[in-house]
Amino acid sequence: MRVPQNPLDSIRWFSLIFGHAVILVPNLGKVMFASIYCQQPQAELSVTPAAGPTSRSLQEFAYGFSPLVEEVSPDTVVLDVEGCTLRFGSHYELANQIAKQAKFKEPGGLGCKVNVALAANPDAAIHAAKFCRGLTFTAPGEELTCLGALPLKDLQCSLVGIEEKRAAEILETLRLWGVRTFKEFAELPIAGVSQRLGQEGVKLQTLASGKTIRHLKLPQPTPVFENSIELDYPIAELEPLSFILARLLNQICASLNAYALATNVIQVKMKLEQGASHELSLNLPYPMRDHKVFLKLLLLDTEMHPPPSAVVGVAINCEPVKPRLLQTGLFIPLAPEPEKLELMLARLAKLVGPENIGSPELLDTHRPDAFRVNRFVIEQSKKKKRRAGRMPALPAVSTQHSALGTQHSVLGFRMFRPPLRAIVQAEKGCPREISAWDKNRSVYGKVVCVAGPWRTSGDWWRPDFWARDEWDVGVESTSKVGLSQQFLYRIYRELRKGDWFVEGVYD
Amino acid sequence: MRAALSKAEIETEVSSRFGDAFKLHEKAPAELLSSGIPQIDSFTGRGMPRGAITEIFGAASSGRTSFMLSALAHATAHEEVCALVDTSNAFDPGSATNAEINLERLLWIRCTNNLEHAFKATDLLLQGGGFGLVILDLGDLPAKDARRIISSWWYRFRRTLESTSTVLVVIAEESCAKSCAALALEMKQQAGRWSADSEALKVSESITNTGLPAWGSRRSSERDTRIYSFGRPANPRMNLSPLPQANLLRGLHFRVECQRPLHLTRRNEDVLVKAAR
Repeated sequence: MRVPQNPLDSIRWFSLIFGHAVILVPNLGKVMFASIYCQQPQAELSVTPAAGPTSRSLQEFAYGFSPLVEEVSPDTVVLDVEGCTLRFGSHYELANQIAKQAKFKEPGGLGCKVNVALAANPDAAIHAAKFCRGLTFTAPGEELTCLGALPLKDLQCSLVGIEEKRAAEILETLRLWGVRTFKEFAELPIAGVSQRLGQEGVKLQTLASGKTIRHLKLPQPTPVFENSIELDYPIAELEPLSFILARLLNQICASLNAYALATNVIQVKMKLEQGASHELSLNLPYPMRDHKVFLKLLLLDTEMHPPPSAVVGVAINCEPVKPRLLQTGLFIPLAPEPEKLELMLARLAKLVGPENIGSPELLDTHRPDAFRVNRFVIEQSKKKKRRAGRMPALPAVSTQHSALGTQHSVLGFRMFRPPLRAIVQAEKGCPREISAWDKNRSVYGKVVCVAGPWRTSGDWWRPDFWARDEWDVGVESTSKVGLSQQFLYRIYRELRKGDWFVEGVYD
Repeated sequence: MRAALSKAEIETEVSSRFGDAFKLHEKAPAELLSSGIPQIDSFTGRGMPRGAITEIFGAASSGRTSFMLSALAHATAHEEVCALVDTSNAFDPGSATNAEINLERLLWIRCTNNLEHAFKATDLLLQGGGFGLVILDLGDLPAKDARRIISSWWYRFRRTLESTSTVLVVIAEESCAKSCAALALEMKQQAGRWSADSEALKVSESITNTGLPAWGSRRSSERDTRIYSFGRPANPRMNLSPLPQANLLRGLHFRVECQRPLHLTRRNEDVLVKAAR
């Protein structure tokens, strides 16, 4: 509906306000949105010297009328103008003021003509501003009067979050049906649209009807989660430092909580006496925001890597990420809680050393005993969850497992690290008697059975290449009380020097 | 003896009136975790009790590590999170991979022969909770050192475990946990199993008179005269040692004896595990 003589007569207001949330409900209150569209193409605007309005300047221009502004595209913005009548008198006067001020050149205006549209919802206002010149007032419930004649190709499908490709498919289908305008699309029965075009079709139909309900997507300033403190006197002990860290972490975690965020990287920078600095970094596998856990982890880390001198300032910053969402289930086996697990791993690392704890991983090489220890992280299994009826974990005890080869049990092997240097008496290259010992263990006795050799070698291009003959030997030993026992060992002869070693025992 | 006889007589007489009042009853564990070896599960009540200590002891080459790998494989296959406290750094990831253990769900703690660290680490794991299977490997600890472990550790572990669903498996050369263990199994080696028993062997005539005695069930007539070749043949160009692939170790036969609990009817079971290279 174009501007009437007395436009305010035709506007019916509606809105419900619960606390801070504004819920749009037709015919229950008033909420009004204004959209501003620059008629001058963006390319022309950007080449204008000095005062060339850019998308930023259009947004800044809009902030002169309302603090709630959404930037839809570089040449279009939407404002929430509820309450602006207190300042500008009426919505008609507000729209006039926007159009008039936009014509002014810098610094107060844009230096170009703009379309201004007021409507009960942002999407209707955007469509009206883009495709109706001058000032447009759209009364609630009468959006089709204004927008109904618009061709369907002008429908801004991105406003309802539909992909461009899918939207093109739907619009093509509508074209084949002979549906050309917003009004014709809006008049189709919703059930039929849903059946034929799915929920995307329903969303587009609601958009074409001008009945979408949504809030403005307001630009949020990027929050910075960091905190620092300069101390009046240097701190040389861990306990007083813990109070400082606790205070800083409390504030950061409160900020994270306010933004519903978590963090998985915490960096601590300690300013030391004589101008030096000491840095600690906490990398967590899962995002968390529990300040008690952070404090304990930082204290354990500080104990393992203490600053070389007294601390005179502390700064903490963290990288905010989305918190971890986990769907648990009745049939998923119990696993340690992530926070507790991290704390426990930190304590274990302090006890046995960080290099001695983790999850083993075999390396892609034939070199014997080649592995690395990775950080222990519990990943959710990618396997499809079993149905409850099939879940019993215990295998049935039956005779099918009794034969060799049908069960998973394999012979275990215990490594001697480092390998035990051995004195081996060999006959025609075959070990006959073996003797090896160190402070923890001893291997001695007559070889009663032998298997081998397996010759393996590799990495010949490297200085630490390996080449050896492996044997599995059964060794008969006699204990102090006279009992004879047999043990199975894996021994090998290093081919470079010809030395014998006991690699481990089959167990 | 006399007192024992009279007690038995009294029990026989009154048992008809009081039912099984004199029968030894033990509290059955609510949940069990399979050891992955069906023969053992069959006589231990289908697995190891959760919330209790299970002790596996025996000499080297008696199958303790095979039992451990089997239990870990079964637990990780069922998405349990497991931990291994390795006192003497003896765990072999290669064997674990052969046993189909999901190493991503295994926390390996190497204590480099520090017994105190091993017990403290185990305590932290049990206090933290959430693990399905925790293994304390004292397998290479000499028996005299194992006897010096103060019993309060075991009582502490038993008390901590009571309210959890974790299975603590202790592997040692001799029994350490004693009465604190709800299940104690003694492992004894029976015999090695060598591929020379296979019928698909080829006789390698070029290698004779090595004088190697056989082990296992090879026929005595072949004992000192022939060495069998199995699997891949030796590459003649490589000029290997005089012996090509001789009889290979295929597995280990061991016997499991249940020392605790006392009420089990079957006391032992023979188990065979296969070797994998």
